[in-house]
Amino acid sequence: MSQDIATIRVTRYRPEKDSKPYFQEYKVPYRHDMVVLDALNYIKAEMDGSLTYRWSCRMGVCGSCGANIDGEPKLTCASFLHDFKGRTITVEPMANFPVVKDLVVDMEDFMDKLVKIKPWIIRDKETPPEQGEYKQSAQELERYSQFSSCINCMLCYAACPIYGLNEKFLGPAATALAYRYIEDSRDQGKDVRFPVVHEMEGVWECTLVGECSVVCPKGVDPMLAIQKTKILGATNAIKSILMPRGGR
Amino acid sequence: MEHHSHDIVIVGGGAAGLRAAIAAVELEPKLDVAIVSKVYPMRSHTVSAEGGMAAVTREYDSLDSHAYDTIKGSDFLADQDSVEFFVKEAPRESYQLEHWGCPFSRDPDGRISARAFGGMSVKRTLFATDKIGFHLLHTLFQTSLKYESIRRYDEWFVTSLLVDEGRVEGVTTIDMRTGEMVTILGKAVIIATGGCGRIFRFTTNGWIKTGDGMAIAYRAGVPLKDMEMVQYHPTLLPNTGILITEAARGEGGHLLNKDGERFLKRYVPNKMELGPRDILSRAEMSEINAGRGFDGPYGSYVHLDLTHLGKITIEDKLPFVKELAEKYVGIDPEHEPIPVRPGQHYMMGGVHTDLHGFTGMPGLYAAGEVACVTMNGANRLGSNSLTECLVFGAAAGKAAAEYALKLSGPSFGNPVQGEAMLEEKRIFDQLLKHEQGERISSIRTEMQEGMDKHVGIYRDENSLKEGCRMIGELKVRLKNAIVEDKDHVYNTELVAALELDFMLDVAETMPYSAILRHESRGAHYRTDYTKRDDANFLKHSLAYKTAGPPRIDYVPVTITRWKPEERVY
Amino acid sequence: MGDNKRYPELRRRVSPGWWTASRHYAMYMVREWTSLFVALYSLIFIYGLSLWAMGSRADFLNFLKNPAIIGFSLVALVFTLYHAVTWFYLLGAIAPVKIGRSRTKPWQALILNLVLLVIVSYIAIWLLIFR
Repeated sequence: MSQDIATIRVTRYRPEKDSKPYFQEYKVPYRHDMVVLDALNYIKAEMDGSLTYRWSCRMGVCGSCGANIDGEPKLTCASFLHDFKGRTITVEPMANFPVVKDLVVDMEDFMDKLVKIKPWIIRDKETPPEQGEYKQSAQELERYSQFSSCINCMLCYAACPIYGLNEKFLGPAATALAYRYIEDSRDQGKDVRFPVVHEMEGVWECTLVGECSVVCPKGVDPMLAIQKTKILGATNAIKSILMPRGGR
Repeated sequence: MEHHSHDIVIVGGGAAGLRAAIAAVELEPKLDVAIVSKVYPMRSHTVSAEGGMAAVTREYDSLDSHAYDTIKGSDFLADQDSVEFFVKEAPRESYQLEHWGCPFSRDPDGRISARAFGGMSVKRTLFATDKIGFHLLHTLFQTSLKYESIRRYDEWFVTSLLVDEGRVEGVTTIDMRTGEMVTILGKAVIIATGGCGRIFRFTTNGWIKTGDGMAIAYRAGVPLKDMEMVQYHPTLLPNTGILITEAARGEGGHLLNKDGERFLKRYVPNKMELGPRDILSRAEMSEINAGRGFDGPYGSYVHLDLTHLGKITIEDKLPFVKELAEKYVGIDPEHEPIPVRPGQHYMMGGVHTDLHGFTGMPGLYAAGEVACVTMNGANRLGSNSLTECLVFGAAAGKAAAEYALKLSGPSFGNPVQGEAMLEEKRIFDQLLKHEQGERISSIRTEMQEGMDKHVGIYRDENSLKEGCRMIGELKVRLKNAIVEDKDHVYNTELVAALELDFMLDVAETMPYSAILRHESRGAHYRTDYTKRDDANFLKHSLAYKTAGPPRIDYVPVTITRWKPEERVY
Repeated sequence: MGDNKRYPELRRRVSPGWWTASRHYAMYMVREWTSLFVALYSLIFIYGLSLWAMGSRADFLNFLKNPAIIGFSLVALVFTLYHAVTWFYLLGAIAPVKIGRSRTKPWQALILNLVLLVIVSYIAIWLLIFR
């Protein structure tokens, strides 16, 4: 009785040996509830120990395992083999990032952007924690909670053609995080973040392709965050023209 | 060899490590703190914690109540002075986290919401829907970015501690990007690398939980305490081992056997689904062994029934549970029960420390799951560990900072340099060079399956003996294993080999500690010694590394105000 | 941090045909191109209106009746409608309205705005042409 087999085509790139990437095919035993990560782990354990990729939690919350699977940015731990047409699946490193080795991409640009938007609570006055929490209503929480769900998987950057064409673009996840802090009722750091998000390569590069929100595995909807940040920027600009000396 | 110097070197970038770093630089902004992590901090396993973090925040609650619940939950093995310290610091740490921006769920009056949790006598588990670990980790990580004196080494793999005249001087690490070994010197080192769940096959833990920090401390001469205390969580999804949070039971979920019976009424009639994890895990196994479980392709299981909770509760309080159930077992918990079975989840045992995170070796501290203070004793209550990371992370950070301020730094001369060069040789000239041998993965799989079987929920003299023997054999086989990937750049197979090496050292301490504990206490249950024996075993085991099997010693439990009593729920 | 010892990373160029890779991207490019038609049509319509301003309404109506103008207008209508539909949908995605526990969906904004478009168009056509 023949066993069910899936064919996995994986990008290989070994900087010490290869000047160009190439595809390598592996045949793995197929089970209905397998995810792509299971296939990669099987290959690494049983067939080729040099296959290199990132993963950790295997439940879609650590954000390590992003890849382009059959051309679409997805988490390998959340992509079931049975969702793909046929039994041949192509796994490539996430688009728009430099490749370090096989499926591992360089994340430093994103890490720099994270720092740039100052993703921490900025307040004029802090009260000591001994006095209890800053009160926040469920409505205030809702204004930003969706945007706080980003797991930094960077699939949105892999999906964004603008980022692909211009690495300086601040991009979906960073903007969503900036917006998350701007909208947090406990934060008072709008003025510090606005210059960052409203510079030329900030939100204004976005032309509403919208693919970032389509691929986001956590429903963050970064496209929405970018547009809302644009609206904030526009209203802020109008206010500063009409009321140059004050009025916030 | 390239080397760097810092005042404090923190190994591990999860909740405890990040909290320690922030505590150190807040105490003294001029301190130069390095966080060395084998993954980017957002990937640390803290991220997967779901249920909540416990602290006394309500008028109906009290520090004594939290302390008593924790001590009783620990089956009276907890050191009560550290529990008292913990419950006292917990509220402040929670509010501090909130001040840093953690998006807690809120009550109508704007206060942080609290839910019921296993073993807690009142609702004191603060939560953020059901993704507290994710929000806590990202809040801490993002907050850490504002301190310029915190320097990070992301994807640098620590391979050993450098010790000179009994004092810690730093660590040797591999920079994954270049494959080079680099020495990072520090006046103080804080280990915050988490637990070692990947020693077992069926675990909630992610791939990175390989006990690295426990191993490097152990090899440097620090004992590992209470290693027989391994926590099994009652509700894992079969096969994948994905965690379904205790919060599902906290919000009212029921555990049912094949007959649709809430079987816990025969085990913990007063607390039912909110009993402590060790008792619940054993209850499930008893039901399964008695033939009252369901059979599935991945073993037997019981049901976690959330169908009576209603759409709004599930959407507001347990959205991640719904997502995981739908995705990984194809079940909508609003309409069907979720299949669950018990599996490894947390290590109560770990690097021996006092309540300031100090290990006894000058300059070396530890905090978080890697450490054993111990406040969790023989069984940890759910939602205590995130608070534990914050409280003891901060304590270790402060203690390490105070220590570092008194010293001038180590320099990269001999003998430290010599040690580092030897370490480099061990890895690159020996381990990496084998041209043939057994695959790393086959040794690892045998270890994992063997540990599940021999050092599992139920243990006896024979199974533990077999566990001891098995680890010994696997250690020998690892010496002749092959690392297929010979690259310098990002060599994950070399890392896997080093991690397996760590895991085998750490795993060995478990059956050796367990076999000498002739009693059942908390998570350590022996079918040949089923009763708790306070007269002989109200003490912590300490496993010391030797050239042969670990040497087991003991240290008494610190009792302050709560005399050990029978543990009934 | 050892940067100088790092091996070369693989930098991949985005090809000019990137938008052919998926249906989503292709539809996005079509949407972008439709703005050309919207712009062109506006210019032509303004020119027509200028004929009315400098001459009479008959001049404007004769201009509109020109077969070339009718032809272009029909093509422009198709593209402008496509443009309108995609933008109304996006508007619904960007500014959902909260009703109870749920939010409005983009297609609901689309329908609402299309209805408004029909009404406004009807009024405009009636004012300009039939009155």
